[in-house]
Amino acid sequence: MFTRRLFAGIVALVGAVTVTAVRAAPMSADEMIRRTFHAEKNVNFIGTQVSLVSMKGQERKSRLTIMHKIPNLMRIEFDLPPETRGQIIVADGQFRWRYFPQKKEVIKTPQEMGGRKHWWGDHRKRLAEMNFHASLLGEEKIAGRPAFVVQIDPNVPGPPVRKLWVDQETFLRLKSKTIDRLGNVVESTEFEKISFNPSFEINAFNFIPPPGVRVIEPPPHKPAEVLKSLSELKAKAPFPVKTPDFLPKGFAWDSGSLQQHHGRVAVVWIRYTDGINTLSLFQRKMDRDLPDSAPRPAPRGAVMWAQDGISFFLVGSLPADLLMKIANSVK
Amino acid sequence: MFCRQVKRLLNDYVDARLDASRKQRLEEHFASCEACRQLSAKMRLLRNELQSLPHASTSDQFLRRLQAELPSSPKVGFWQHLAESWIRLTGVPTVRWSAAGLGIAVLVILMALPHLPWKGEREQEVRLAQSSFAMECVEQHATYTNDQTMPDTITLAQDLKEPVF
Repeated sequence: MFTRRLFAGIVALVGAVTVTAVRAAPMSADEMIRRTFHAEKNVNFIGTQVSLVSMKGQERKSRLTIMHKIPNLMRIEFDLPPETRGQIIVADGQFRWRYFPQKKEVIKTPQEMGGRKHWWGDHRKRLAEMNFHASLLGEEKIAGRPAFVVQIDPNVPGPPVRKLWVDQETFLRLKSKTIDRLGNVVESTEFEKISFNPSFEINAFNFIPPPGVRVIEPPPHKPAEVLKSLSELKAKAPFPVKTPDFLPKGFAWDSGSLQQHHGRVAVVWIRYTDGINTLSLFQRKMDRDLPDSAPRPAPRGAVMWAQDGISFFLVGSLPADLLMKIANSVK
Repeated sequence: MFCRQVKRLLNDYVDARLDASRKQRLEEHFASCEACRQLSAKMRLLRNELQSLPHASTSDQFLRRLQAELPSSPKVGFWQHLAESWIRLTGVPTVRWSAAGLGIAVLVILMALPHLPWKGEREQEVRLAQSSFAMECVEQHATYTNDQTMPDTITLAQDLKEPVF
């Protein structure tokens, strides 16, 4: 699914991009994206969304029911593929719960993190203006509703092209496509059906772990732990922090944080951004013996490896080969 | 030298297997002890008589029958043989030796722990820890970027059934 961060970055494009309208439109592409971002947080809806993701030459189809309630309540129920049926994500305004019934586990993550304040800062806005431009391509009907078609192209090769179908009435994103450098659609989402301002069940946005379910608690996140410079992070980290020598053009430091496990700092988390896409590099000092291993593909299109007793995890919305190149440059 | 000592060495003396020093002391004793001197003379005579007897040979059939009649000799294992040899050599009692062996065995096991068969289980633990770490990373990244669904994490749990490393 296309993410809010995209819209956050695209908002910054207002006044800085050239809009190419295929046909007459009531407003610019940038204005539509601005309203789309607003709708993501300010529209009540329930819909069934189908996603297609191409991974390792195979296409994976998933179907979700998504409920959103103003301002930040969310419930997602998984239906397809069959092995994920029963999985749930609930954002209750304070925590995001991801429940795996088969494993009898739930991962609990703070819904808002200190670092996100930085997300909206001028830094990202400037990067988005510098690295992307938006165009209005036309109009189509999605889920029976008229939508504008908007495309966001990177100014430099590397990041994928994003294509959005935006509801003309509510400005909610109804469909999206992510297209790689070769023109392949690597990810797409589309609402099969959607209704606005529905009546939700009273407990739809509450999650109470069922008996016997293991809750994986989040590491503590304190605003003071979010660091705005790499040098500050390196100075406070309990082990030598490694950084990539290579980053795709347009990417720059975003923020970093130190996380604690059992009362001591064990995880270093560095974020890079091009204004729209975000890369996260996690480094964790493992308590157990950890043999060195070369970077290799991990779940969610991420890359994982180990060196000197530290486990590395690199994740971000970039093509796999780029992620691998970044991982191999971490020293 | 006393008569008791002389009698113990008398066989070797008759067979001429004593060293010069002992032979001399023995002969000094014979000079002063008539009983030992006569005993020595009788033994020498007997030896000479035995040596003059014709050599008796046995048939192969007799040897096979004799072999069949003899009880089979008990098989001594390598470790038993080694232990008995050690005890004979050092005189260290078996109990002490056993305790020392046990201590060495424990030490060897402790040193070999990382390489024993359950190393696989430890690797599995590391993999699980890393898989758990991977899931936490994905969730935190999704939360940070406000990506509430991240469709390609749908199969995350399935992916993690395979070793990440």
